[in-house]
Amino acid sequence: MRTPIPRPGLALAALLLAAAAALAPVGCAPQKAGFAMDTDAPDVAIRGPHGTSVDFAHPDGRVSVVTFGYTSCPDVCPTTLADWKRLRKRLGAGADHVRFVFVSVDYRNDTPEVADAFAKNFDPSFTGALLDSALYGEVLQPFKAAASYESTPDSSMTAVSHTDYTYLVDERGRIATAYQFATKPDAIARDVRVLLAAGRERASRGS
Amino acid sequence: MRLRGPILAAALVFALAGCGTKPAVRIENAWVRPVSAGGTTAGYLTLVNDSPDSLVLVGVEAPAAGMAMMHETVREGGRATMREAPRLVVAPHTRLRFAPGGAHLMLSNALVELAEGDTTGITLRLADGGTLHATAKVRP
Repeated sequence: MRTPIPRPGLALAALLLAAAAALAPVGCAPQKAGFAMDTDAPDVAIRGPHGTSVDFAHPDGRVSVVTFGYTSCPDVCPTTLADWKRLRKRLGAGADHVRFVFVSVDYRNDTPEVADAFAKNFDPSFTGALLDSALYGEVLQPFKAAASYESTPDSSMTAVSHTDYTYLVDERGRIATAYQFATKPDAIARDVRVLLAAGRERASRGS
Repeated sequence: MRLRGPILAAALVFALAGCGTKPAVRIENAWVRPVSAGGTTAGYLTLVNDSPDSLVLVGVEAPAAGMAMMHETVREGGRATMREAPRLVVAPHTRLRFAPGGAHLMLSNALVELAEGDTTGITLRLADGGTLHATAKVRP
């Protein structure tokens, strides 16, 4: 005589299978972490330290990781740059083909040198640059970013309102993706690797 | 009486968890991001209020900073703006988390470099004149 299958056990198994199926897309499939941009980076020279310049439209074959902020920013900007340091570590040798650029929008208080020193506090390979007010529109618009000074009752505090995203610009100077504040470095690293691979592919085809 | 062992073990776990060594009002996980001298950084912590009374925070002091203020980062439509929070209320049996991207303790004009592995003091001032002190770890 065959042993009957206990029905409660079967129901539980079905429930578990259904739960696993429901969770699978979330837990296993790679999720899109950022927003697709696919626009040309601004063809503008932004002031870097000591007479240098940063031009995202001509990135020397490297992928650029970009954010906008200001150096007296205590919370958001240091959090982003600390995340970048983790991102750089995740990239391993691939990081040699990536540049990390912190662009200060605080033209009243920062200099390119101050912005650069601020970025290098997090990683010596990072670069800082300063966005002059005359270039605000031309540079920020393609990133769909914004920045402005906030009026505050406390004049001892510089309050700059700024888009807090991290952007990836590919080796051709196309803004590829934008990531919300505090996106996991692992997720951004995955997309950087995809851009690096696509760049290598284009280079091998000579396009 | 097979269950006696597990029940005793569970009772012991609860007793240890609730044995009263932790004060009802306490600061947990205080940390500060590294900063060079003269720079600006932020301190983060969790203020636990397990007391029956509300706590009203009215300020922060940090010996390592020229100026310390309670702030909130307001994030709307992808834009971050920092605002001073002169007064923060922690209701009874709740906790207030100062964390990146939200409420934080702005420490500006650092008087000394704070490097990873250092520790530094943070004191929260309460409306009733009391203070709460924590030793914060410096970490990225």
